Amino acid sequence: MKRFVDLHLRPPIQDVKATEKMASLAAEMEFRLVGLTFATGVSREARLTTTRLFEDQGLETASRVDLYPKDRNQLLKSLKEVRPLFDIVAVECSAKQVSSIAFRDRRVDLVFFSLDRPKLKIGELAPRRSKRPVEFNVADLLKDGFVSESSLRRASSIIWSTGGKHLPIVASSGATGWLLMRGPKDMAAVLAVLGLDTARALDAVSGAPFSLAQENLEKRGPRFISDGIEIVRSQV
Amino acid sequence: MRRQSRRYLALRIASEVAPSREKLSSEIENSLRKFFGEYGVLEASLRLIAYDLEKTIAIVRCSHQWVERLRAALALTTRVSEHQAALFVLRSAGTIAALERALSVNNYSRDKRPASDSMSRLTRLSR
Repeated sequence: MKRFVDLHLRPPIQDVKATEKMASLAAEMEFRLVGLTFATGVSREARLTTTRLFEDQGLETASRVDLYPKDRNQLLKSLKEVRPLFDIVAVECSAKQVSSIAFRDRRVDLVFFSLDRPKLKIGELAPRRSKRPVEFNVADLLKDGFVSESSLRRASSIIWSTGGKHLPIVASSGATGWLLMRGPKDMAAVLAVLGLDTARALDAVSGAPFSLAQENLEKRGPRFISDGIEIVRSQV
Repeated sequence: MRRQSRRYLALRIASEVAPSREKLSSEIENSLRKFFGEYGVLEASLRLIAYDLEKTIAIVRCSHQWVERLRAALALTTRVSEHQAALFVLRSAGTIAALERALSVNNYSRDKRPASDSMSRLTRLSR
């Protein structure tokens, strides 16, 4: 059975009822793990409260932060600050100098492109080969309450470029409320319709995000020392 | 000529106001039309089989070749009868009986009757 993951939920932390609804819907849609996005200024208590609401529904959680740097220096500074605090760090690639760092730096887990910047050419921003997954948010398509032709065209070009350059793809909802959430197979269907083959589309909502989250959660666990080295027994 | 095979999809309608059967049916068809055109609506052979207004679960039938595209069209639906809404596919199956069995395993009906009973009642009443 597939382990479905939505790595990009943005619950409104001040609204507990809405967050609870998102949690119960995520459980109903059979997600196993969700990535909860918090702003950098959110207190530890608020993060824990939100996380508990999702864990009460039987979901595994990973904390996540989105970075929107304007240039290279801003990205490097933000990475230094947020990397120890979050399980997943995602970076929006809005310029060539940002994307060249984001695709290379090991502290970055995911990169994503905005659908609102039609002048940016994805083909030029993304490297030819990289192991850094590109995230596609379905909520970006639904942002204005309807799906516009331009956003569909832009989404399709992202899928084509990343698929053509053999970059891993991760699909997430990017939901800020329960009405923007989508089921895992529904998100995969959107990717498939936009040009990704069905097997890769399903992997984008299961295998790829799950292994990424698992790896990062292990790294932030108490037993992890370095890549390939972990504490097996603390007392001899 | 051999009859084309069909698939049945159980949908959860998430909305602040539960839409009527007619509105839901036309909205699903409109979504498909918006993304795949008139030919898509024709090819998909779409039909709303059952709809429980209380539980906001509907059963939709379509051609087995159009399941993926119907799922995508439903995922990109944001409004039903002028209200913000989302349509989630809970399960899909080749027969209504299999779909009811799958739904009963997941315990989607919240009353005290066995889940399969209540879903069968739902499909009987709505036909």
